[in-house]
Amino acid sequence: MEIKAEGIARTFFRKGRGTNFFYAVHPTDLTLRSGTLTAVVGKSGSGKTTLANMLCGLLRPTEGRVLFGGENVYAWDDRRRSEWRSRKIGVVPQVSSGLQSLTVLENVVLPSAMYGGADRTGFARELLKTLGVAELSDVYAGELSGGEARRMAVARALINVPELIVADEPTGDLDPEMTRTVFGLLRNAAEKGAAVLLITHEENAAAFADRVFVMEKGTLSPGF
Amino acid sequence: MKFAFDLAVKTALRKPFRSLVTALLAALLAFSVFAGGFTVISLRNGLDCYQKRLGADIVVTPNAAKGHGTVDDILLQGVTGNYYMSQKEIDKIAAAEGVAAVSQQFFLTSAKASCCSTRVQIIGFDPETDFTVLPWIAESRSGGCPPGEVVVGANINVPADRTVTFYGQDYPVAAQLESTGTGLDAAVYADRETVVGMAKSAARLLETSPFQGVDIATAASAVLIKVAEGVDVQTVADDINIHVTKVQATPARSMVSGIAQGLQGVSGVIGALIGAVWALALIVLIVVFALLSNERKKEFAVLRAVGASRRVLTRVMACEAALVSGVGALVGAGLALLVSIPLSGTLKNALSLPFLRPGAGVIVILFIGALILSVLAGLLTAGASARKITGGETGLLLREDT
Repeated sequence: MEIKAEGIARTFFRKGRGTNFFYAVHPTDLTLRSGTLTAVVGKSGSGKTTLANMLCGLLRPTEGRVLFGGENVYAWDDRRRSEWRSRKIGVVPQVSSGLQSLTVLENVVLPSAMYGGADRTGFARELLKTLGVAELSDVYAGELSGGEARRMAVARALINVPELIVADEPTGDLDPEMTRTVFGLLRNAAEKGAAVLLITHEENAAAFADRVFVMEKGTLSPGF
Repeated sequence: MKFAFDLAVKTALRKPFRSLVTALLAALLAFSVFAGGFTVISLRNGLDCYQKRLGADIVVTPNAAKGHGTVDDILLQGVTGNYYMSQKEIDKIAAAEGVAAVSQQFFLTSAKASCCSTRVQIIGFDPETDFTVLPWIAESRSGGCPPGEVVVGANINVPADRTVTFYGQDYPVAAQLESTGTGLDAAVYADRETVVGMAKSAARLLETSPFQGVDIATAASAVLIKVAEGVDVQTVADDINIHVTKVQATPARSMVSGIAQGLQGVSGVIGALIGAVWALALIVLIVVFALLSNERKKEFAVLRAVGASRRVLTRVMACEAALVSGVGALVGAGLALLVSIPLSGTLKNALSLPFLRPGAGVIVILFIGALILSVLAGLLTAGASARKITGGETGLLLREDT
């Protein structure tokens, strides 16, 4: 499995004087292959999240295309793209929150329940245990701290054992030990065959990654 | 769909205040539709029945009837009245040009005393010529109203032995009539001879007889006229008013049109009230859902990120709106049902218009209609919010939150 970005770019419009269109991401080529963990590092506002969102079908590029199995995912209708995201992709959004009316466990199994998938409660409990939040299984998502919510989001992204994992700052609110645990989980997923895209500030992410890219002012370049 | 429904139930239960506000608005909508509809339909039914029961083109009463206890009062309000015209006037009325058929009625008021079961208006009709009361009786029983027996209106309490007493005489109750929503429901009917017999008993029993100078055997309180085909009703009424003294001829149409105008006025007010309630509730619902959608943008973005399509999101919102507004509408319409039926008597008196409660079938349709309209209002406002949220790109929603 591979997901391929061909010349994808995204412009935005800002109200103000002068030139209002700007490139959040300049035309970029990137291929994510199964079994590899690709890390993208860069400063805030450099375009990392925009790139991640375009790759997982959440933000339509203004230029270029995203290919999955040779098909442009943005040529699909919303239903097909959503189902593809649900079955094939695990997303940890930058803002890691959950549905407040559901418990942590219910939030974690959400992607598997949405299209009538198998019951993954056991695996969900296992993931929550690994992430150190097993005791919060029956707590409502709205009651969690930032770090707890982040770990819930990581578990949710892994629940369907996806082919592609897009993790946008999955360790934002976590301590070093838990950061290592999360990176370890993503590394493990890559070794089991997933293509993993890790967007992070963490410098030690390189130790877990097969490839590292640096994003700067919307331009992606090979890193250290 | 199961996913959307389960999520909607959990969300509704987890946010009780939010659900309560939405349900209350739906309840208000359903209450206004049911109560307003019930009142308007009851008034229309009353008018229809009144028109049907009147059955004549012209009603002629003595001038003495003016002021209190007029035919209108008797028919609409159940007010009692005694007034009479002589055979001489009746003959002149019958002889008027354009009159095809006449039928006399003799009014008698029972006394609120030990001699009578209750104080009611007693209407004596002539079985030979009647074209208004007998067709009505025929709807309730075959065989009409035998001499010496009475037929009672829907609001008369019939004793267990099915006998009523007027001026010391017992009269078997032959039948009880269907409700009309008018004063006719509070009257007792018998053939003219029976009522004249009651009047004679009254003259003997009462200290002051109401029949001073009246030949009870030939007098009448009202003459109902059917005009010949092709003849103008107003012309006949005018002719009688000019040529027959001491009487007042009123076209039935004008009696009905007065009521119809009143009904139109009341219906207009009710319609305006329902409109105002709906406009207000819809505005509040739109604001509530707009606030909710802003509050829940992040949640919906997460749902989209984990694979919910726009359709799934719309279903979630629709299920939640249908569930909450459905419960609210059920409570509102149920409450309106509980209030409207017992209060219909009070409402009838307050409006002074014919008021005939609709049958069970119409009530069920009205109830379901109120539910559907209120749930639809909830769905439409929720749908507008869902459209607003799902219309944009999820990536942008996620950016907005950062």
